[in-house]
Amino acid sequence: MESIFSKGKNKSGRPEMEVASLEVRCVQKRYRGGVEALSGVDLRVETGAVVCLAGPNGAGKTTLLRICATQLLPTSGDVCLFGVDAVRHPDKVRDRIAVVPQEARPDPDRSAWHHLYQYGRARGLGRAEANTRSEGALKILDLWERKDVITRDLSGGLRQRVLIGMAMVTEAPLLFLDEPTTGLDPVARREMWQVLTRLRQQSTVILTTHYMEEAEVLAHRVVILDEGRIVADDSPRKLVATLPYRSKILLDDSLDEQSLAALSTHGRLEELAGRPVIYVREEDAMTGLVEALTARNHSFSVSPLTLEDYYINALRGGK
Amino acid sequence: MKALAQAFAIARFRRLDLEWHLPGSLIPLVLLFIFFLLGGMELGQHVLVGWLVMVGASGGVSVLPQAVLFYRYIRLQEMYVAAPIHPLTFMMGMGLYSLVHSLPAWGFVLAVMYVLGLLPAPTIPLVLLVLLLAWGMACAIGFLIAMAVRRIAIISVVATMVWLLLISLPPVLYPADLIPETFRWAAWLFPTAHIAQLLRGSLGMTELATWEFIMHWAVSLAVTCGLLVWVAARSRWREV
Repeated sequence: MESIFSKGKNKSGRPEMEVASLEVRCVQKRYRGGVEALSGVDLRVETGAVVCLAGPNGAGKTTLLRICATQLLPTSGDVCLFGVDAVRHPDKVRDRIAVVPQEARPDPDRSAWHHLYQYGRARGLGRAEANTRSEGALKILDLWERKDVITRDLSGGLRQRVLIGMAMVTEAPLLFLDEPTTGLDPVARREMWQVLTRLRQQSTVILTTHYMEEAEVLAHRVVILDEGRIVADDSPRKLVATLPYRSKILLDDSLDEQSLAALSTHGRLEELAGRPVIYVREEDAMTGLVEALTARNHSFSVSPLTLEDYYINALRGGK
Repeated sequence: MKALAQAFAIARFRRLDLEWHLPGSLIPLVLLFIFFLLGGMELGQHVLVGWLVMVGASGGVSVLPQAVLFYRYIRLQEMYVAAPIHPLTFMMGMGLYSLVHSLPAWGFVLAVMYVLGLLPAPTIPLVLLVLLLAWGMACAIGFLIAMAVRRIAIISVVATMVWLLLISLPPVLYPADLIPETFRWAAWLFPTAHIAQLLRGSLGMTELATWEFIMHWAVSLAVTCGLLVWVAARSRWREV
């Protein structure tokens, strides 16, 4: 599908400069009461990208998302959506964005169909178009069979899909999803990933999440915020590659301190929910550690490093 | 036309619960009974007129709890903010939803007045226009307050206070003549008092001089338009 923002050619035949879907420059947000949620954030999101905003609670993810989605005014800084100043002229971009807010819930007395159709109508779609788009979105979301069931009788995962459906009906080229999978069980979360994967084929998607696994699966880029600043910004693979370790070994929690001390010479020893974990830097150290564990008949498992390891490392300042 | 279609879609988003307005709509019955006992139909007719204004204004004021619920509880309003929807359109949608709930009560009171000969047929369009004015004014007040309310817990307190100031206190359900002349000027500080007086004048229940008609029209229109402009230009659609 060709995006309306894809590169074109001007009269001289030279390719035109591509306009980013989102460009954030020096955005600062200080709430009444003095809490500084964002302290000079810069971000550029190209058309077609899926960008995941991650970070601890209170890092500024939702604030940044709401500022970008024209729901909240920044204290200072610029936000451009499709090249248009969204701080001063939000009305000029609102037909090209859609939002699924954090903690939003559908009206319990209305059906999935009703939500999608009426939201489409409220955004200015004609009856026929709202009908067609609602039907299409409900089929993609696997809700078509339950389109007339009131949302009170749907599971949490399906209710969340109704909200995503409302955003889908808009066919907006830029979607903002604030923690779309929070509160869902692992199965529902994976089903939601399927939906989000479909979504990224038609729109640029910016989502916030606390689940690094989700960011790793869905995002082209992960932006980690901490205390209102961006502390990391790259593809999940590249971020993990910057870690000074190669892999991690989860050890048996029955190991005594003496054994642990001996093993810790092979890498950095940490504790994960009571289980010792050794982060190993070099391939040689890994081999040595595995041999030592095997010789002592200790049970262990080797895992590749994940984005979560990077995240923890980044937020601890690499300690 | 597009804005109207959008407003209807917003109004139709939520399920109609016509019983929702029933208890509130019946409040004037008590006053009607007392006034009728005290002054017969001469006094009772003023309660009927006030009842009409009350239903319209209550419908408008109920935008307040609805909007707060939408904004702070189910949190869907953010989806409407980040959309090509003007705050005035959103307010109108919320107001239309309330207006539909007001229709049975309006129909009932208008029918009673018609049967009692208090509502000459030629005045009906004018009466409806004035009632829509009351509704529009109250919608704007409800919406403006709703956008500033941050805590769901205080919705009922705020809505009751607004109801008190727009309906209970000013001469809406009772004629302004009952207020001692020294304090009567204070009645005209409340916009709904002008609307009720306009209706009474139009229906011949109170004699109004031409300048009084003009004044009540001017104040009612100016307040309503001013509030709607305020909603359009200054309401807190995007948070600060």
